[in-house]
Amino acid sequence: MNLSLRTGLLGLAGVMMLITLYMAFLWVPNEATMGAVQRIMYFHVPIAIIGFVAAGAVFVASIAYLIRPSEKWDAIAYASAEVGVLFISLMLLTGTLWGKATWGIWWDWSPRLTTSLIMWFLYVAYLMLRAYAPKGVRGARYAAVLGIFAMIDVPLVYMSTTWWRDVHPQLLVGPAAPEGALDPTMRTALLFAMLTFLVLYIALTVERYYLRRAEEETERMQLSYEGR
Amino acid sequence: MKDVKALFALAPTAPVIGMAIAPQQAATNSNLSFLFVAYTLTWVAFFGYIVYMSRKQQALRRDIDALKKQLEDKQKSASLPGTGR
Repeated sequence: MNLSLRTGLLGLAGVMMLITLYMAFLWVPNEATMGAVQRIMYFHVPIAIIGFVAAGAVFVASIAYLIRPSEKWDAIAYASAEVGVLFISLMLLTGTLWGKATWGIWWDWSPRLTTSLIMWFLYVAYLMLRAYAPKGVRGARYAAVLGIFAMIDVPLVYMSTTWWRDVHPQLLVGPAAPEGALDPTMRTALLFAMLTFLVLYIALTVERYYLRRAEEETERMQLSYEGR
Repeated sequence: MKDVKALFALAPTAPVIGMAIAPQQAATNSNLSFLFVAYTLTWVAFFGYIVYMSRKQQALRRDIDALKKQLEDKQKSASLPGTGR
């Protein structure tokens, strides 16, 4: 992907973000029980869903790496995990703010929140493994195994409010969400916000991917120069 | 802040069925600071990450330039008469 296309993708994400802000603050109606603070949803829910997408990309790239080891798959998994950690962290932070505003508490060890925190730990562990494991094929292989294992938690996070009693709101979007769970205007705004964050995720992951490849290439050049 | 409050007060209301906690009308202007912090935090985090990546890119460019220079110096010294290996 050439540089102008990558810059364009980031620019597109910026424009879409402005439209998302317009929709979230001026276009959608106020929620009847929570009021204005419910508008956190237009960032919190899409960020969470894209966090799942990032985890899925790590999973797919890790499997692909184990089947056919190549630096390309390894770099995709790494880039997606790093951007994914950013999304999952924001999911937890915006969630605690929403929780404090609506439940009156910052944190509750409910199934949804606990599985989400475990998810964050798993992908932080992935990045720590990349930082401290041996460089090269061995480290990449360890990380791929963790990238596959970590995916187990994602369906647990998504389905937790359906499978167990939870203080967290029920599913609003996705295959398991009930019909008519959301006002149509809110639904449209939420779906647009998801698209926005998806474009942002792709733009950031592509940038991180090329940066990772360049880092590896430079490291290789340095090693060959030093004659190691 | 007062203008923002007025804006939300004018907006119509709609219930989120999956989220409704109690049927009473909420104080629509309450907890705006949480809303502000959540959106600001998200923006700062994404901008911060973009800055982090661009700094990494600059550092990488410096490394590559230094490496190129070292390589050129090595080639020059190798091509000088009496120093070639």
